[in-house]
Formats: sequence, structure tokens, C-alpha cells
Amino acid sequence: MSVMQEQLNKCIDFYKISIEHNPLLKILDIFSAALVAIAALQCVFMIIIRDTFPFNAFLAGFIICVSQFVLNVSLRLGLVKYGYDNKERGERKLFVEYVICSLVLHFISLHFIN
Amino acid sequence: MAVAIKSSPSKMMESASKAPKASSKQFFLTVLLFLKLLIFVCLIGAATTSRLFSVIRYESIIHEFDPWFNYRATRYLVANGFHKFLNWFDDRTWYPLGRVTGGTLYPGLMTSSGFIWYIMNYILKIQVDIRNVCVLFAPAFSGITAIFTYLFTKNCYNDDALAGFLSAAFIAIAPGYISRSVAGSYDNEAIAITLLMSTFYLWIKAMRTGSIAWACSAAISYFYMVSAWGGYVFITNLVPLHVFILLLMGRYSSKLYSAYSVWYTIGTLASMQIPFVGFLPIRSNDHMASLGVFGLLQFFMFGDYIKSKISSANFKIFLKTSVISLIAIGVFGLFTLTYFGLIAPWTGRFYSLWDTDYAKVHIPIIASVSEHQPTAWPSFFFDTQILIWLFPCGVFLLFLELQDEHVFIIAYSVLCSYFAGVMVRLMLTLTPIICVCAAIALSNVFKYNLKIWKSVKTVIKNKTGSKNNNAFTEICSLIGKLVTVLTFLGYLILFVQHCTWVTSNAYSSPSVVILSGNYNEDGSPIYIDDFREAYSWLRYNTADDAKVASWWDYGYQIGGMADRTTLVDNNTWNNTHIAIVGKAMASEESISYEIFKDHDVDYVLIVFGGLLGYSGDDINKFLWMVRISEGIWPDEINEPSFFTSDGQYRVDSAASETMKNSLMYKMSYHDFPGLLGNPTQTTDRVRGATIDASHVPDLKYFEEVFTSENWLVRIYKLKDEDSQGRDLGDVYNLEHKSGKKSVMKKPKLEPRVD
Repeated sequence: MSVMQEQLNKCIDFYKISIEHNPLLKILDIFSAALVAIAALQCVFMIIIRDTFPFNAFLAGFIICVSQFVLNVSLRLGLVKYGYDNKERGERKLFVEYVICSLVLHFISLHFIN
Repeated sequence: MAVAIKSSPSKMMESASKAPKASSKQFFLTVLLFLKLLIFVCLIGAATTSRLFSVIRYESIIHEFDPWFNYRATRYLVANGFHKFLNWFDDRTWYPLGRVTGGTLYPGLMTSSGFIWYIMNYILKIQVDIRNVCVLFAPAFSGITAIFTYLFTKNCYNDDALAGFLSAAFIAIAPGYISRSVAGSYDNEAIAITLLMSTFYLWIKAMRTGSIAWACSAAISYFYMVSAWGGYVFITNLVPLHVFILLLMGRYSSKLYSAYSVWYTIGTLASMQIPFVGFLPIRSNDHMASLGVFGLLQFFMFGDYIKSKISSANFKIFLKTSVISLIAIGVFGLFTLTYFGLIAPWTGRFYSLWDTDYAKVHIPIIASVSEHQPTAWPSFFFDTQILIWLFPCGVFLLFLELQDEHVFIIAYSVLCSYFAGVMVRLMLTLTPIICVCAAIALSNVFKYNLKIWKSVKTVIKNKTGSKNNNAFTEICSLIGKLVTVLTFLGYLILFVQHCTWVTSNAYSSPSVVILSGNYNEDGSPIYIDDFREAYSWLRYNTADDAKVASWWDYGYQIGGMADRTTLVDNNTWNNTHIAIVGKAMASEESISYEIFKDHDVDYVLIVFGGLLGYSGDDINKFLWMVRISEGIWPDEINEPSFFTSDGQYRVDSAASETMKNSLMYKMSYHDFPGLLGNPTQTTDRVRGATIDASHVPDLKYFEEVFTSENWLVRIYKLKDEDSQGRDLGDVYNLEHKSGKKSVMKKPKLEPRVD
């Protein structure tokens, strides 16, 4: 078990170094963490008041967090994997796609939230 | 234009002198592009024109049953605007309940055609009737389907353009698809197959590139599909299945993650915008698979990240524990949520997909629809001809390579082959994949066998030189290849002929108007137009708020053509209400009269094919009415009592008393004996039974008001209640006992008998 612990620690160290080197990743990760927190908050709120009455509003709020999180992760994966050496899929293209998808997502969400 | 011409020669000269090879290559590419465009134009032309048989044979008319509702809804949309359409409460159907039509339909079809109509009339200023837009909607979209099929196949199969073109050509003329998309067949499927192919194409594209933009467009296309057809559940399950198989094969990649996650989240959120779908995507079990795969992918993503950081031995332990716990949590969660009623259990249609007898036992209303019956084997051949043989070959070829996108086609073909075997109507979703697989098989055949230039060259070379063994084998293989290619070309020609024949003979009938098969003296065909005759009679001779009772099959047509209020229609959302009508039809006259009076019915419409030999009439559907009403009132309606003592369903003298006294029997055969010369007997041409006048009881509570030219549609009116409060049956008996043999008001019609 101690081996496992050690490996995990190594993992975390590696992660820390990787975000130190790339502030963009840091921002993205903070954003993602915030989204998870907001989603959790909404769930907790729903459980506390024991009511899901404007269910569409709750759903829209919750799903937009999940979706945006997924988009963030996709962007992050793209940046790490292709960002630097692959010219065909440059960073700029990734960002444009990210913005377009986010816009579509927000449009649908706003429409759903009423 | 002139400038372009002037500048182009000099440019060409320049490029020719610099790099002659490059310019010739460019020229070649231009020709290629031109040829491709030409092929596309031809494909669209073929797809569209082969669907116009019905317009040429008959006229520009909406077909069958469901399209009439879609047409009516479209007219409402065009007249009242989109917002009113979405909030439409229709009080002219399902009397007295009404139907929240705006919230219980898939608006994709109506909005699309409404949009096209708007653009044509107000932006392009081309005056087009909304009916013509609706009639020609399906052929137009089938052209688009062909293009998307080309893209799908090309992307799925190693960028093979030949396979793409072949599949596009197949889908353009395959009868399996034409059956639902001839001109006038204005149904959800007409647009849904196009969207099915576009969604799949975009999904494959997203999966291959890992681009979130493609995934997002796949989600938007999915949204369009959700808005158009209930069959979107197929996509909701097929794509996760594809991803799941890939995961099991150990082919996780970040591309897969991006594509699926983005598609799923945006697609789900978007699909909930459709009022009819509502919260189903997170509530119903049909959609849970996609959610599960989404969760699994998150886990894989995380695992993949960890894996890249720690040693593989440790990762295995990590993987095992987490996978087992994850599956346990997932299954447990699903069961508890279903148990507490948070997730809706699977629907009846879903069960009937797995257990073919389920519907027959539990939900007669589903089983009574002919397109929900299991497919007969010949219909596979009838609908796809040679393609059905090539289909397994294509799947086999895909197995040989088994790339990520090939797995998709394989999963699609396996799933759909099963479903198409269970329900006739799902043949429609199988047809595209049959076309794709057959095209893949054929493109391989052609590719291999058309590589003949090399052997031709050696043969020509060796002709001048000495005789050689090599040359002989070359000639043999050349002949073999040529024979193969020519054989397959022959098959393809046969295929085209078959498609044309099937389309023109089997799938182009509007079923509202029927060809009698006879011809006038001038050679023009004689049409049987009884339905429209009857509906227009209703339209012009009854009060605007008159209620018409009929079996549910004709509900949409009465609403669309006669514009009268109906009790039940093809929407079949309320089984009890349908059972009420079924019970009224199956009961004795006095009971039926009471039921109908309770529901304010003024007219009863039945379809009778006995004179014409039209087998889809109400007497043949009668057992379903009995069964459905028996499901609700088992004490009052009893199916065996409608059979003869030895268990036969008969209408002649051997018919059971219950049968003879049922309203449906009386209405169908009212005044029928004595129609054709013989004063007491007439033969029912559908059931081959002789109906004797003494076996048909008199109608006491209803009176005949209309019978169409060929007796196909008969309309009865409920007699007014007696002014002195007597029972109508007694009144009738009294009048007829007193010796005043009242003269039957028989419509003076010359029955057309061939």
C-alpha cells in the first residue's frame, strides 16, 4: 500500500510541476474545479430544500457545469497532446472550437433555464 | 468573366512552362471535381424522380394516415405561427378529452416544411402551396440523405470514395427507404433518415478527429433528429454502444473522450428542449446507457491520466478495484432509482422489441398495428434485393480490418438486423446500413477486378514476342476479372430494374385513392375515390361541430380531409378511449347507442370492402376492436363469443349470434344482401361469404345517411331520441309491426362491379 501511496504522491508532484510550467493549464484546472464545486453546491442546495421545483432550471444549471467541465477537459487534453508539436491542429484552432462550443452550450442552457 | 478568360491563358502558359506536371495534375483534379459534382447531381435526380411515381400516377396528394395529421399540423403552423403551434391544444380530436398536440408531437417535420414554405413565399417570392411543399418534402430530403450517406461511408471506410458513391446510389433507390419517402408520404421518417445519416456522419467525423467542433455539430444534428422522430432513441443507444465496445477493446483515446462527452452533454441538454421529450433523457431507462457510458468515460479519462504517471503493475490494482466498485455502484444506483420511481421503467414498445409476444399479450393496441409485426423473410429481399446478399460480405470485410469506425458499422448492422426482424417498420433503419455494407463489398470487388491495366500491358507485350506461360495466366485472370465485373454490373442493372418496379408497383399508392385496375375507353385508369368522396360529404353536409366516431385508423383522415371532430385517432395515446369505441362497435345496438350518445357522437363512419374486395376493411379489423375492448371490460366483451362454435371467424349464416348482433356487423351488411340482382343474397368478396338477408338484423337506432360509390365508406347517423321518451328499439318494432313496411331509403347508385 505504501508503494501505491508513493506512486500517487509522485503523480501529484508531477502534476504540480506541469501546471507551474503552463499557467494556461492552471487557469483551466481552477476553472474546472470551480465548475465541479458549483455543480456540487447546486446538488446540495437541492437536497437541503428537498425540492426540485423549477426542475429545468436546476437541470440547466447542473448540466451546463458538467458540459463546461467536459469542454475544459477536452481543451486541456488537446493542449497537452497536440498543442505544441502538431501544426495541423494548432492551439488557435482548439481555442476557436472551444469558444464556439461554449457559445452553443450557453445558448441552449439559457433557453432551457427560462 | 472576360478578365478571367484573358488572364487564364497567360497563367496557364506560365504554369505550363514552369511545371507542366503540376498544371496537368490540377486539370485532372478539376475534372475529378466536376465529375463528382455530376455524379451528385445525377444521384439527387435519381433519388427525387424515382419517388415521383405517385404524383404522376395519381396526383399531388398526401398519403395514408399519419401524413394527414402532419399535414394538418403544418397547416396550423403556417396559419398561426410557431408559438401558437407549440401551445396548440386541439379540441377537435379525442373528443371530449382533446389533445395537447403541441406538446405531444415531434415538431421537426412541420417546422422544416413550414420554414421552406416561408422562404419560398416570402423571401424567394415563389408562390407555392403548403400542400405541394409537404408532398415533395420527402423526395427532396432523400437527395440530401444520399449525400450524407456518401460522406458517412467515405469517412467510415478508409476514405474510399468509390464505396461512398455506391452507397449513395444504393440509398437513393433502395425500396426499403423509398417505402417511407415517396412523394406525398409526409411522415416523420421522411426527414428522420436524413438526420440519422447526418448525425452518424458527424459522430464518425468527431470520433476520428477528436475535434469538439465536430462533436458539437453532431449534437446539433442529434437535436434536430430528436425534434423529428421518436426513433432518436436508436442513436442515443447506438453511439454509447459503439463507445462501450471500443472501451472494452481497449481503444480508449482522448479523441474518443472529447467526441463522446461533448456530444452527450450538449446533445442531452438540447434534446430536452423538445416539449414532447421533456425530462425523459434523464428519467427513462432507454437513455440510461448513454449516461452510464458517459460516466465510464470520465473514469477512463482519469485512469488514463494516472496511468501515464505511475507504473503499470500498480495501475492494474488501481484499475481492478475501481472498476468493480464503479459497476456495483452503477447497477445499484439504477435499481434503487427505478425502484423509487425516479427513473421511468422501460416502455411497452421497448419490451416488445425483445419479447415478440409481449405486445400480443399485454398491449393489443401496439400489436394491432400492422407495421409492428415481425418482418417476413421475403420482404428483406423485396426491399433491398441484391444488397441483402452483399451485406454480410461487407460486414466481414470490416471485421478483417476492424478500425474504430468499422466497429460502428458492425454494431449498427448487428443491432438493426435484429430489430428489423422484430418489427417491419424498423426495416427502414436497417436499409441505410445494408446500402453502406453492400457498397463496401462491391467497391472491393470492383477495385480488385478493375486493376487490369498491368495485365493488359503484359498481354500486349507478349503478343508480339514469343509464347509464354505467363501471358496465358494473365489472359485467364483478365478474363476472370472481366467476367466478375460484368456479372456484378448485370446484377446492378437488375437491381435498378427491381427498385423501379417495386417503387412503381408497391410503394407509390397513396391508399387514399386506389387504382381499380380497369381502364376507361380512352385508356385512362379508373380510380376508386370513395374515401375522399365520403370525407367531402362529411365536410359539406354536416354541422361544423359534428362528432364522428370511427375506428382509430381513420381519425387522422377525418381530421385532415373532413375537418370534423373525432373520438379517437392514430395517435393512440389513450387506450381506454379507443376501447370505448371498440366496445361500441362490438356491442349490441342499444348499448352502442348509449355509449355514442354519452360521447355526443352524431355520425358513425365505417369502412366496408365487401363489395369491392378491399381487404383492409373494418370487419377484418373487427377482432382487434373486440380484443382491445375486452382488455378493459372483460365481463361485457368476450372474444370467443364472436367465433363460431368450432372457433372460426365467419360472417355468413354460420356466424355467431353475438357477431350478427354487433353494431359493426349490422352496419357493414345493412342493405347489402340484394344489391347485385339476387334479391336475398350477395357475396362478400373479401371473405368469400354469402350474406343472406335473413341474417342481417335491422338497424333500429341508427340510420344510413351516406354510402360511397363503391360502398367502401358508409356513414350512419344516430337517430334522435324519441320525442315521447320511448326506447328507439321499441319505436322501430312498433312501426314495423303495424304493417307499415317502411320503404328502405336506398341510395340510388349503380355499383361499379368488374
